[in-house]
Amino acid sequence: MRIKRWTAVLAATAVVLTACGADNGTETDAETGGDPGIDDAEDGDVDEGDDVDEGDDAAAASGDDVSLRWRTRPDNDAETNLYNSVSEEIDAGWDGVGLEYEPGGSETSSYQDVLRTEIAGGTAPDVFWIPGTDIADFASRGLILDLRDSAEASDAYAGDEAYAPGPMELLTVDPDTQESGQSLWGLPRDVSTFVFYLNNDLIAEAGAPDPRELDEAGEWDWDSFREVAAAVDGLGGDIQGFGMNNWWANPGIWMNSAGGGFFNEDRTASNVGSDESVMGLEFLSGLYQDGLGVPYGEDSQPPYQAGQVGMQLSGRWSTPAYRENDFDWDVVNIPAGPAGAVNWTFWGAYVVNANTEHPEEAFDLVTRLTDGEVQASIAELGANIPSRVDDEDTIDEFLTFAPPENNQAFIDGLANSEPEGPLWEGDWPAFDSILAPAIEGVLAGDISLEEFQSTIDDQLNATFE
Amino acid sequence: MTAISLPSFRLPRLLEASKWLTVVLAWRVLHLLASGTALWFATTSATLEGPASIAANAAALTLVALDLGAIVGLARGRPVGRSLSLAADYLTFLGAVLLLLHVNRIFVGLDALGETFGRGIPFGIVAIAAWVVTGWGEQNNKLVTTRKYARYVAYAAIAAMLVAVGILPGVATFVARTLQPLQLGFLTIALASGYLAWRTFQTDVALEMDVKNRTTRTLDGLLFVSPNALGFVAFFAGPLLFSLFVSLTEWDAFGEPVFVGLANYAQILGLNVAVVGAGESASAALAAGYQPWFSLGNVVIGARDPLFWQSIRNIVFFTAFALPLSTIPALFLATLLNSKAPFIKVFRAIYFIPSIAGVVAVALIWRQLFDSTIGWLNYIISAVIAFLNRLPLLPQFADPRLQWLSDADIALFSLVIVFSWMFIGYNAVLFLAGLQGVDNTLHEAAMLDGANRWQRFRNITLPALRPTTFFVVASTGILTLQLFGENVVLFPTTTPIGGGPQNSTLTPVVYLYEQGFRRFSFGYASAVAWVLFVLIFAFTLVQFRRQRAEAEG
Repeated sequence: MRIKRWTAVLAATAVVLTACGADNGTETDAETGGDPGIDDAEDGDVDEGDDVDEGDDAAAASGDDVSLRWRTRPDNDAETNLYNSVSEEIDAGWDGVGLEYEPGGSETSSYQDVLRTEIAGGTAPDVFWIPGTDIADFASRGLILDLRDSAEASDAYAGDEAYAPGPMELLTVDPDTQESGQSLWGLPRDVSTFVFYLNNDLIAEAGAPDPRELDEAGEWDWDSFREVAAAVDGLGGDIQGFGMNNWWANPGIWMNSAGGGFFNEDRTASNVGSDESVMGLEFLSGLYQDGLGVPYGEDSQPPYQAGQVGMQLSGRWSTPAYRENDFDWDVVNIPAGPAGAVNWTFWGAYVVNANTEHPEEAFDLVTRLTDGEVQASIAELGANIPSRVDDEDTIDEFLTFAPPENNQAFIDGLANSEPEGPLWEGDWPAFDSILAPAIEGVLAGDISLEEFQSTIDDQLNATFE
Repeated sequence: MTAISLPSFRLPRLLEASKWLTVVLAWRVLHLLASGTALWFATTSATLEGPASIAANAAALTLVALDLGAIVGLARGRPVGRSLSLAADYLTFLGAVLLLLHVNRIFVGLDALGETFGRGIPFGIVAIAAWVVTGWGEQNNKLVTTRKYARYVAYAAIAAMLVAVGILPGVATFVARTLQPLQLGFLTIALASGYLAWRTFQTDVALEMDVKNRTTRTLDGLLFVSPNALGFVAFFAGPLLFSLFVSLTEWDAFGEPVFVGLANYAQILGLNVAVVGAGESASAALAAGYQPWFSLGNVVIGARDPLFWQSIRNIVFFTAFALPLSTIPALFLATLLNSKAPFIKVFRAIYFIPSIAGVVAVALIWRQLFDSTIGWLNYIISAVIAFLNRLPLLPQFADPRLQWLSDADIALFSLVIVFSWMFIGYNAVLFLAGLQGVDNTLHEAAMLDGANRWQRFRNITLPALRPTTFFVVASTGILTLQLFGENVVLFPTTTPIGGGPQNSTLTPVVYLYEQGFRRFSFGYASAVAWVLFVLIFAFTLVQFRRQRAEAEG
């Protein structure tokens, strides 16, 4: 009995001790401020001695001075693999720095929630990607670094003007002065715009005009959109004229194209209750009340992929999935409203954890990850558009990544678009929490446009206080 | 077989009991000074903040209190002094060991061990197989040689497994790290405290202090339950109390909490009732800071946080439907499953499967089924209506094309369907266990008295199932009030996530998640959690009272 007891005790102790060997330092304190009380450079198990940064066991083991962890939110496995290979490529060509790539979860698996929790726990990566709408929240809470000084000291930084101007304008806001071009909170990983993905077979079957030809002729507007949607819907059965998912941005393009929008000029108050914004919602609401689309709130992607929806509103990120479509498909820019075809520029940025021990190297990594070549290799997968605008070849190359044939629609969308953006003087999650249910009510016919218009701005403006 | 014997190791008992108690008293004074210094450091340190600061303060304060009590007790020769001293040394020992493991990064390593552990699995399997062989023929003393070699094989396999997993570099790293001054300090404290606790625990010391047997047995018991009790304090009671503290603050998890007293509770629970005059809007009739939540005629109830009250209304409606739908059918299903029909065990397993399937998997499948355009539910409904419409003499039915997930009037019932489907089987198994405990002679006697099947069910089975019914209703009710996972998966694109169309499926847990993890108002989220706790507690208390009243006739 004693032997068994000793064996059990020894085995348990051994497993605990073995953990020391298994700890390869990937969760080191140095990068994330995990445990400043440990000084690995003094451990005696590091050969590089004084040259080795404190806490970087992994880096020490690989001969690198610095170990950096970074994370993005990939949309699929192919992107995960690509980001892994990008990480390995940069790692191999970067002396003294070791990289570890961590794919984050999807949007619906609460990527940002997990990230914030890790930041609070001191275990977040050195460099991570966040959506543009979250920049202000992260910056104002002191979770990410202002990189302006690092940028000015860096030879690798191509300059603010090398990136898409809309996102850069919002990424360089100084929270104190509210002016752009001051701070630098990160660099945009990529950009995207909305298009309508077309089911050309259904449109042809319905005898409706081709939206791409209408667009080319300058006749692609709300009326012709409705005409095409009605024609396709008229095919009957389970066929729907158009589809768009329940997401804040989708109703937004109709408001934008009507001349309205979510915010006033300087983004300090709501503009949702303006006549123009309500006009956009009125048009959209009419489409739903007439039963021309997949009911708002239902996932319209599966029926589109099943060949039952004529036009599906989505961004570039849907392209990889739609390449599996077994019908003739392409894309077209959004239809013009009274104020034109005013799109969104969707973007997210690589930012640097405020707790990183290696801010200079982390900024260097951000510049490498947003390099034109890296962006082109990721864009080739089809999920996004490069954010670099200083090299025309990058965009020219993007246009060749077919299908869809009409990649120009994405670029046209960029030309006239509102950048999805952080609210430097408001609370975006609170704003979204109020606006989204209200729009659901309008589109379902449960809330009248008059009631919506008379109450919405008061509610939304409270989130700016 | 030659038995393998290991040397018997006993710690030496330094000093006789009376002198040892003097040493313990001196040690307690030193320990008090150290604990007091730790408390001062924890209170004034700028490096410790948030939960770490609270934990350090609580630990240091506990040690100071134990030391003070032990010193007084030991000085007066009271047994309680020994008990408190033991507790202080035991906690110091555990704390020092944990800190040593922490600074040696064992816990991080255990996480990383998952990557290397696979290398040792083949050896582990061999070790288990060999260990099984060592038991063959043991009772009638056969296969002695085989068992002996199997034991050697088992030991060798365990050793090989440890080597494969990385014991050698692990031990080397551990030793190297432990030789650092900080780690040596923790090791010394651990060894000293461990020895002090062990020596003070010995019988001669207990006898010296006239410790009663009952106290010794109590200490033995406390020692045995201490791993669980300390785990409970560290991982349940501690965080629970911490969340109570957080609920009195405004805190975003990154900075320092700002104490706001009961302001969060006032914001959550604030209600205002007003009568709306002619031509007056509901908002204008309410006091400032209140928004309309509910109206009946010209009476409007306003809330300072209408979303919270909407979540309460939703969860009450949900519970009102989901609780009976997941318990009453379960009872009848259990009655069916209690029969001796062929393949009845297979059916029992089939009905139980939904409850062991993951919430996410179940909800994802239901999301596909509920899809209004390509989902199976609407497809079946359409097919049935088409069939009915083809029948003569029947009126024509319209196909409702229900929007299960996007219609605010229906979405909550979609959740009820999913929840009930998941828990009917589980509850049926609980009822089944209860049914199998019902005394069959009662049924036989009733049958002789002429009772029919329903009368027997009503007057014998149901009363006999009261304890089971209480458990089923209470546990299912608690689950309904904590609804979260199903919402989040069924309504992933609404804002808040899980809130459903027009917040029609917003539940208190979804709301507190939204407040905590999306809006980073952890103080407010904690307050919501405590209000929900009170609600659940009240629900359970009512169930208990009802159960007790029924039991007492």
